Amino acid sequence: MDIKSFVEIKTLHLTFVGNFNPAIVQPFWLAQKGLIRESEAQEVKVEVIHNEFTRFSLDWVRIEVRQDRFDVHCSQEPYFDIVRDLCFGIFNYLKETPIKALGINHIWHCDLKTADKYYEFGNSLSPLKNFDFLNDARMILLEIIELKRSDGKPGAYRIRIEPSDKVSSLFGVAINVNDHFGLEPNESGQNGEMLKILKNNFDASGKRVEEVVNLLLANLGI
Amino acid sequence: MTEPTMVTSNSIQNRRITESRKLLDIDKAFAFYIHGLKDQNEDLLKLPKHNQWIEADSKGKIILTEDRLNAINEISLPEHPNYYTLTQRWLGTITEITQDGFNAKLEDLNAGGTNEYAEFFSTEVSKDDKPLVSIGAVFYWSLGYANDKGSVKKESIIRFQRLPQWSSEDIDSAVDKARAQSKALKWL
Repeated sequence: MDIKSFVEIKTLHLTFVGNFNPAIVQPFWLAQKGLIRESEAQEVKVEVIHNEFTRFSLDWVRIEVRQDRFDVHCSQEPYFDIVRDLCFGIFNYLKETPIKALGINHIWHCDLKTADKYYEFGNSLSPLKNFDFLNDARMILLEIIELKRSDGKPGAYRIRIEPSDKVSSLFGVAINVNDHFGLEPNESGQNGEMLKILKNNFDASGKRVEEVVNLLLANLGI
Repeated sequence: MTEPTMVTSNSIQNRRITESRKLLDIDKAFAFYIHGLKDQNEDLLKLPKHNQWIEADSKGKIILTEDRLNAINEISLPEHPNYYTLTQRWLGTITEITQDGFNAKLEDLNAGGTNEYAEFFSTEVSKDDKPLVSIGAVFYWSLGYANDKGSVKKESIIRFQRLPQWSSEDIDSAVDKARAQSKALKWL
């Protein structure tokens, strides 16, 4: 099976949990620090910049900062490494920022191409005969968690599957693989722990999502 | 510098990729790297078939559409008006500055393997990235199909790495750590 024929859109969503100052992270601050291009700061689409909430988008990334959460979203695969570098750069300049958790989320939108495969995908994940008391039951959301990570790191590994209307045909599913990292009991989050985790696990996380999607589609006979 | 031997159809011109001393142009690179046709004869290189539109019977089609809308309304996924498919990515390191551009060593970020070498013209580097061009500078180069609000086009993106500059405090701190580690070493 060639996974390339199923996966149509790959997106990356990095989530940092901690204590942030939304008013600091602004396009011109990023440009002044050399983390984005000057021209990008001028063409940015700013939605909100406020003490409690900031949200703006460049052509290749959307940044959203709350006081307890920092989210970066990118749907352009060529920029995934650049998004990682951007986060690395931001928190290198904001060294004192305590970060308690990190989620590396890869969301792959797959086009199953036929109605039969689309139905069988849901039916295999959750046999619909168990819901025969419903009229024409369909599976629309499934979340599976590996509570104790097999690599021994603090955190969890979560897979979420839901329909997607982002692909070319009517038969799309989104497979969201959440690679979640926490702190060790003796860590404060103020010594760059999460940046080290991001640096050391970003590539592996990307490779693992490919393995997961491959194995899942193979197990389901897709 | 010798004249480029091949010109592409997508204004991504004057680029030469060398792998095993063999020249490829960008169109062939698309087939070669992105469509995984590395093992096939060049004559067989071709663009992928368009997605086939699968016909469903009218009843099934209506039901599926309704299901999807109900699900999506409840589960908000971000919009993706622009996205890329079948991307081939390299990490480049500049090895030589030339009169018209630079030469670089490329690491294949998709498949790994041996390093490749390519020649880039400065006209391909964005104005804001030009100050970053120097020997040892790192950049990302990607080829892929860009979907821009429904239009599909081949794209080549060069983007230089932007990481924080080392401050004098960072350097002092690194020196202190190195000294401490050096003192901690016990020679046998």
